[in-house]
Amino acid sequence: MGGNNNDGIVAFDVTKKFRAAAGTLELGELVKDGFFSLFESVGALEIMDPKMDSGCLAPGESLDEDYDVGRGLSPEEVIGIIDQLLCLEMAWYQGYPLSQTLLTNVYIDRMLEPEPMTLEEADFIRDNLKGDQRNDDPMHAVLRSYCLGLIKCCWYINDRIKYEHYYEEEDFVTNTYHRSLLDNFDVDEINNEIMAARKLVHSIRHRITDELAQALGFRLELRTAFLRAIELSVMRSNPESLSLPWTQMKAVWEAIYNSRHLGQSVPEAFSTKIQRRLASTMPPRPIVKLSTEETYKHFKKLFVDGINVLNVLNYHDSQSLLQNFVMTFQSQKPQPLVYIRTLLQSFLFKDMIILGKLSIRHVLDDDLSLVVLPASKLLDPANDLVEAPHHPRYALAHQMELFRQRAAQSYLDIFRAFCQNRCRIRRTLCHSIQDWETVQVDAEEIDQLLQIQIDERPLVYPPTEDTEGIEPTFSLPLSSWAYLYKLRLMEWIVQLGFELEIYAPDELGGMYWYLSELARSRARLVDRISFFTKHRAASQQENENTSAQEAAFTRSRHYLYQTSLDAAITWEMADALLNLYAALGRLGLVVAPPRPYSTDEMRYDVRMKPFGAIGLPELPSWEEYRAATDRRQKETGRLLEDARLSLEQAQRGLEVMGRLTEKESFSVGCFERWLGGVKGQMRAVERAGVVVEVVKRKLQEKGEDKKGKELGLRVEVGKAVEGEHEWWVVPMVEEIEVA
Amino acid sequence: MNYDALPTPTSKPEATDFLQTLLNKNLRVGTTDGRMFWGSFKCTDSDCNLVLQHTYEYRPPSLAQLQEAAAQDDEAQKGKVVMDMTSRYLGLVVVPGKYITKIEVEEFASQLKDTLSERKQHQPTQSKMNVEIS
Repeated sequence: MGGNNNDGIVAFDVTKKFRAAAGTLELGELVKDGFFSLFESVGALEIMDPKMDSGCLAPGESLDEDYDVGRGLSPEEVIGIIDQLLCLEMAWYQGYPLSQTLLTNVYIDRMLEPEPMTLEEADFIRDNLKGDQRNDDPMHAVLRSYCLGLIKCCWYINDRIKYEHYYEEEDFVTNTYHRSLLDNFDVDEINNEIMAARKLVHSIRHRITDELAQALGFRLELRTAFLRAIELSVMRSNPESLSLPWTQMKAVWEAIYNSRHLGQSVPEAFSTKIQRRLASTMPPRPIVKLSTEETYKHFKKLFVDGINVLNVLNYHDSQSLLQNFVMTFQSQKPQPLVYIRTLLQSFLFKDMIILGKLSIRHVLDDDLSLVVLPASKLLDPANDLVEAPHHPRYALAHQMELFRQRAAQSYLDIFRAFCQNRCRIRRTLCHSIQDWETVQVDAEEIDQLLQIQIDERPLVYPPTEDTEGIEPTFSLPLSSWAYLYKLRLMEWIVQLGFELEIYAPDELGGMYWYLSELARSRARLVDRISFFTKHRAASQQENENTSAQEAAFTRSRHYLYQTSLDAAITWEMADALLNLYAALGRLGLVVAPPRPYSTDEMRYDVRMKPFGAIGLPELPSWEEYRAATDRRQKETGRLLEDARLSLEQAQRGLEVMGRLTEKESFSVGCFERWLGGVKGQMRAVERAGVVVEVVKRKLQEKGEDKKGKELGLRVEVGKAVEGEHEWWVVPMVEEIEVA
Repeated sequence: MNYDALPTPTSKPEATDFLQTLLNKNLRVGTTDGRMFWGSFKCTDSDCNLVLQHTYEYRPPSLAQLQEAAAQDDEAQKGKVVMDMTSRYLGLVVVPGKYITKIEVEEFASQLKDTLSERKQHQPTQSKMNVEIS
C-alpha cells in the first residue's frame, strides 16, 4: 500500500463531478485505462453481490461474531470442538483452503488476530492479560493449548510442503491469508503449554470424571506426538526412532475415535463470517465438513503412511528404491496425502543428499552396476585416484563423470515425478521421455569413447552360427541403460493412461497393442544387455574374479531376469486384452461413440503425440496400428483362442514372479506392496480368462453372425475393477436374456 | 491537480477528459454499507460502475468494537474515540454505481501548487481513520 501516513496525501471529494461526468456517457460506452482489458475484469469481485463479495453484510447483520469466546466451556464441549477441528484439519490436508477449514473456528481466529507478540497473548481471551487475573478456567487452558499445538503443526506442514514440489490449489492450498500461524514461536514453548494442560487435566480428573479427563488427555497427546513427528522428520536418520511418534499417534487415534461420543458439538464456534476478515480475493465459501468416519479413516491412513514412508530410509539398492518403493508407495489407493509425499521428497532429495546419507553418484553407480555394468572397471572408484592425465583410468573417470553429470538430473527427475499426484506423474513423464531421448544419444557418444579406452572387443549379436558378413557390435552400456529407462517411462505413460481412465473403451485394444510393442522392445533390449554381461562375466572369470565381483554379476543377472520376466508378463497380458477387445469390438459389444468431427487417424495422431517425437522406438504408423488392432485377417474365434493362450502364459509368468524373494524381486522394504501388485495382476488375468470363456461359449451357442445384444451379453468397460491391478482394464461381462 | 477548482463537467468531451485524468489514480470509494474501497481506478461506464485494481477494503469498527473501545478510553467521555479501520486486500473489484456514496481522489500534496498542502491533516489515510461517536 502506498504512503502510510497522512503527510503528503490530499483527497478531493469528486462524487458529484464524477457522477455528472459518467452520466454523459452513452449506454455501453467506457472510459478505461488503455492497458486494462475487459477480459481481466471478468475476474473482478463484484462488491455488494452476496455471492462474490465476502464482505457484504445482509441488512442488519453485524460483522462481529455473536459467539462469546469467554463463556465457560464444559469438558464435553471442548472435546466436541477439538473433534470438529480434527475434521477441518483433515480437510485442509486433503487440499481445501484454510479459509474453509481451520480458519472458520472462532477460537483460532481470536488467537491469531491481532497477531500475538508473546505466547501469553496467543489466547482467545486477551482481556485477562490486562487485569492481573489470569483466566483460570481449566477448560479454556486445555482448548488453548490444543489450538496452539494444532496451529504450530499447520505452520510446519505448510512450510514443508512449500519447500518441496507440489501443485498449488491442485494438491494443496498453502495460502494463510496473511495470518501468521505462530511462525515465530518456539515449538518447545508450545510443547510446554500442552504438557501443562495435560497435567492440569490430570489434576482435575476427579472433578470432571476419569473418562472425560482421559479423552482430553488423548487429544492433547496427539498434538505432542504430531509435533514430535514433524520435528524428527528432518533428521532422516534411522527409521525406527523416527517412527515412534507416528506409532504413538496411531495408537492414540483409536482412543480418540472411541471416545468421540463424549463430545458435545458446538457448531456456533465455527463460522464463515471470519472469511470476511481474511485477505482473500475469493468469494465466500462454505465450511468443508468431513464426517467423523471419513476423518477417522484418513487420519488412520496418514499415520500408517507416516510410518511406512520412513522405510524408504533403509536403502538397499537403486531398483528397490525407485521402481518398487517409490512406485508402489505412490500407487496406493487412495494416494498418500500431500504432506506424506512431501516427506518422501525431502527424504529422497533434500540438499541433494539422497536419503540423508547417500550421494547421487552412489545411487546412480549402484543402478548402472545393477543394470548394465556389474563389476565393471568403468565404475571402479579407484579410477578417480589416478592423477596422470595420460593414464587410461584417468580418461575413464573423466568420461564417466561427464556422463553422470548428464544423466543425474534426468534420473532424479523420475523419482521426483513419481512423488507427484497421479495425473501429474503421467504428464511429467511425457516430458521426461524427450529428455531421455537426448540422454541416450549423449550416452552413446560417451560409450564410443569408452569402448576405445577399455579396448572392448565387439561381438556378433544376436549370436549365430554363421558369423560371416555380420558386423559385430559393441555393448554400449550407458546408452543401453538410458534406452531401458526411456522404454520403461513409455510403458508407464501408457499404463498410467489406463489407471487414469484416459482412453475411451474402443481405444483400449489399440493402447494394449502399443504397450505390448513397448514391452517386447524392452525384452529385446534386456536380452542384448544380458548377452554382453554374460560374455564379460565369462571373460573376467578367466582372470581372477573376486567374490564381490561374483556377487555383482549375480545381482545383475537377477535384475535382468526379473525385468525380462516382467516384460514378458506385460506383453502377454497386453496381447490377451488386445485380442479380447478386438473380438468385442467386432461383435458389437464395445461400440465407439459417433465422432462426426474427426477421423480415426487424426485421433491416433493426437493420442500418440507424446511418443511422436521419439526416434527409438519409432511410433508405428497409423496403417500399422490399424492393421494390428482390428486384426482383420483373423476370425473372431481365433482371436479369443489367442487371448486364452496369452493369458495362460501371463498366468505362468506371474506364478514365477510371485515366488521371487524380496531381494530377487528388488522390492526390499516394500515387498508386501509389491506382492500385492503381482496378486492384483493375477486376479486381472483370472477374470480375463473367465470373460474370454464366456464370450467364446456364447459365440458357439448363438453363431458367429450374431452381434451385440443378440449374443445375450452385456459388456461394461470402465476402469480396472477394485482388487485387480489398475493398469489392466478387464471388461465386465454379464449374460442377459435375449429378447 | 486541485479538483475542487474544476468546474462540474457538462459537455461530453469535458466529461471524458475529466474521467481520463482520474484513470490510474487512487480512489477512495465509499459504499452504502459504510465500507470504503481504496484502489487504482481503471474503468467506468454510464452507470458509474467502477473497476478498481489492487484494492483494499476498509471497514469501520462495528458498534460492539466501538463500545468496547469507548469503555476503555478516557477520551470517550468527551464523546470521541480514535480507532483504526480494519482493512484487507481484495485485488480487482467492481463497485456497482448504485452502491456508491462517495468518490474521493488522492493527490500528492507536493504536486499541488496552491496552498492546499496546508490543509489540516484530518484526511483519512489508507490505514487509519478517525471515527467520531456522539
